[in-house]
Amino acid sequence: MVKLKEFGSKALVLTLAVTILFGVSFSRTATAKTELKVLNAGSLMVPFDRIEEKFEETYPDVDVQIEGHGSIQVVRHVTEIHDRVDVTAVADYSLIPLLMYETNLPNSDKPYADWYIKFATNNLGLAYTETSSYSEEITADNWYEVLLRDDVNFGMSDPRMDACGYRALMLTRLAEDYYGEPELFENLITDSFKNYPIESVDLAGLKKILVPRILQPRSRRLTMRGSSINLLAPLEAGGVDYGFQYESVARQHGLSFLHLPPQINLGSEEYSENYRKVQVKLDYQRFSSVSPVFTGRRLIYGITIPENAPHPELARDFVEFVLTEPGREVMENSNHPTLEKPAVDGMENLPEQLKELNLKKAEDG
Amino acid sequence: MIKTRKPRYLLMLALSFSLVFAGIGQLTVVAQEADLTVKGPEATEEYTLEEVKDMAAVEGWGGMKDSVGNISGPTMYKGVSVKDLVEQVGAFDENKAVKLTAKDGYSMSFSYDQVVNGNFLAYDPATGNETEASGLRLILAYQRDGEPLGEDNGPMRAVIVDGKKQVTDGHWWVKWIEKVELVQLKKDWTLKLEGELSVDMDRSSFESGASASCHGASWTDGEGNKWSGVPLWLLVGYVDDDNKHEKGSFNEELANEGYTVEVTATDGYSKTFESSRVMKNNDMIVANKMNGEVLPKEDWPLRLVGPNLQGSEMVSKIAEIKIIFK
Repeated sequence: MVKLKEFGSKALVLTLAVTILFGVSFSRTATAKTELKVLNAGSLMVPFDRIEEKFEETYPDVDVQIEGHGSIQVVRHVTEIHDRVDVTAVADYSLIPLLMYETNLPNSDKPYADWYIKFATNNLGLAYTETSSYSEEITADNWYEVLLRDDVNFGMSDPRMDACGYRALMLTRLAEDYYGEPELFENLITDSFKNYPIESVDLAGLKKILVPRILQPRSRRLTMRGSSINLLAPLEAGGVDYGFQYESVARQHGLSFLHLPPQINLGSEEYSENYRKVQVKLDYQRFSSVSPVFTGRRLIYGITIPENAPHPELARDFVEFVLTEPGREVMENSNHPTLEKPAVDGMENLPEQLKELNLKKAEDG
Repeated sequence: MIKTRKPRYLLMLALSFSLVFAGIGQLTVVAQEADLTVKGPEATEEYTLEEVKDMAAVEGWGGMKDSVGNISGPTMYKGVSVKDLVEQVGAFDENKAVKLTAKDGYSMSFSYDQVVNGNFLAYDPATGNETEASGLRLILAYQRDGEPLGEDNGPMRAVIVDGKKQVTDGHWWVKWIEKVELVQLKKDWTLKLEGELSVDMDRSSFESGASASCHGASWTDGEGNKWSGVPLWLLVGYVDDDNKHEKGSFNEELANEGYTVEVTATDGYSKTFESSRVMKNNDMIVANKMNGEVLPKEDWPLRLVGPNLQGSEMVSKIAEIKIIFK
């Protein structure tokens, strides 16, 4: 009997322990945070990291998972790799209609997206440090001469992999006309590669830049990295004197930034037509769904919610957060310029919650 | 070393036989599909994953750094050397590249220097800082930490490995690879054709038209150089009216009425020719090759040549051919 009683009390203790454990476990499951997956352009990492913190303060039950990639890769994760993503934000708004409007969800007649909002901008220039050669004399008028000096090494991201890279080519080609230097592109870009260089041809007013399949920089002069973010380390370490970079990224990382004229920096609304005169064509198709031809246009960021977002309501809250005061404040504090009035393409498909923000309709789709 | 294989193409796929004896005694034969195609100028090989695993294996540490600096790995990978694979299908030199293509169409190209010499940028996995690395090898991995790669990445992916722990740029790590190709490198260009229509003809379209089986024409100059390309009148016929490539695409009626053809170089130099001279004239050739090779730098990409042209009429570096109607 005693033994039976002891067994009985032990069993009771065990039962209680199991109950408490399960209870705790169940309780934890019940209060587990909802993961909101946001895929964004690499150049948005700094402000979106801060927006994540602010959003989680306002929505303590949400764990925002920020993931940065090249903009094409951001969209590809949704449409080709079939990741379930709540929000996508890219550095080139045109990728959303090009890839998400045109691609339907598997076994569905619905596209991955049928609206987007233009919400931020940027401009391209040269990032450098105080120790960069000739940093005291470089200006918006002589930068290309400085970059051509024998003891100067400049950097750009790979135009085959990164939008900042092919935009640097556009800027350099536009600079040729702006400064009246007909050999600027050849001297600065074409001659910086061996064997199969990047070439530029003029076709009845269209300046076409042809990027070969393989790029081999002359190492003493040009340093090329896979992404604009990965160009920051050699700049900071002094291995690179000047690097083509977005202004927001340069300033976020404490680098000096040489602002270039609006006629060539891809950041001005006034000169957006001028940017369209230049086009970059890659000699191979990296993504089956992306034509490897990029026409110059003003740098404008776009944001949308994929049709198959796992948490559409929270995704709408996040997009609203980005577009309104809390998000705009973070963007401004991160030196990332926003559009004064965000503009919507596909207004008729915009979720009601976002329609209430009274956004304007995009003029050019 | 990879064991020598004779070209076997599709017929050399390993065949597995499933014998299904239904009530009526039907026999079903199922051919096992290839997991990997290796294509080059001299041969095309197809392999199942099991055949790839039978090849000489390479093992090493590999990890990746993504475009915003996040690092994963390194871990131990096992696979086959890409260099060994492509050397079975053609001679590899600095004028060729290796193109890897995934099942979703994503592709990435690698230089001779990368594939043969392992010249990739490497990073310290602890700090993310750039680091010296030698002996890096590009492999098609099928195993990670002793396990198959699984559907998320495999059955085969590009991985860069070394004997010591380092990481490399993630954009080289193509997953789901199903095709390896040895491709010839070419400098790209575009020819603007302007007339009733406006067309940007790219290099591959021009080369297709310049083939002997299509519109190819050639002329040997006094120094014995053989120039080959497409007769000027055929390019004019491509844009002189809205009939680009059908029979009779060159509009003789328009040419008889008279117009001027302007041939312009990238540096702005140009020459004009009357339609009566251009019409059906196979001795005015827009050449893209000399002695079977791409044109030298001073003429590249295209040069107008022919027996009855003056030296000043042989426009080099052609960028545009324009019809000026009267």
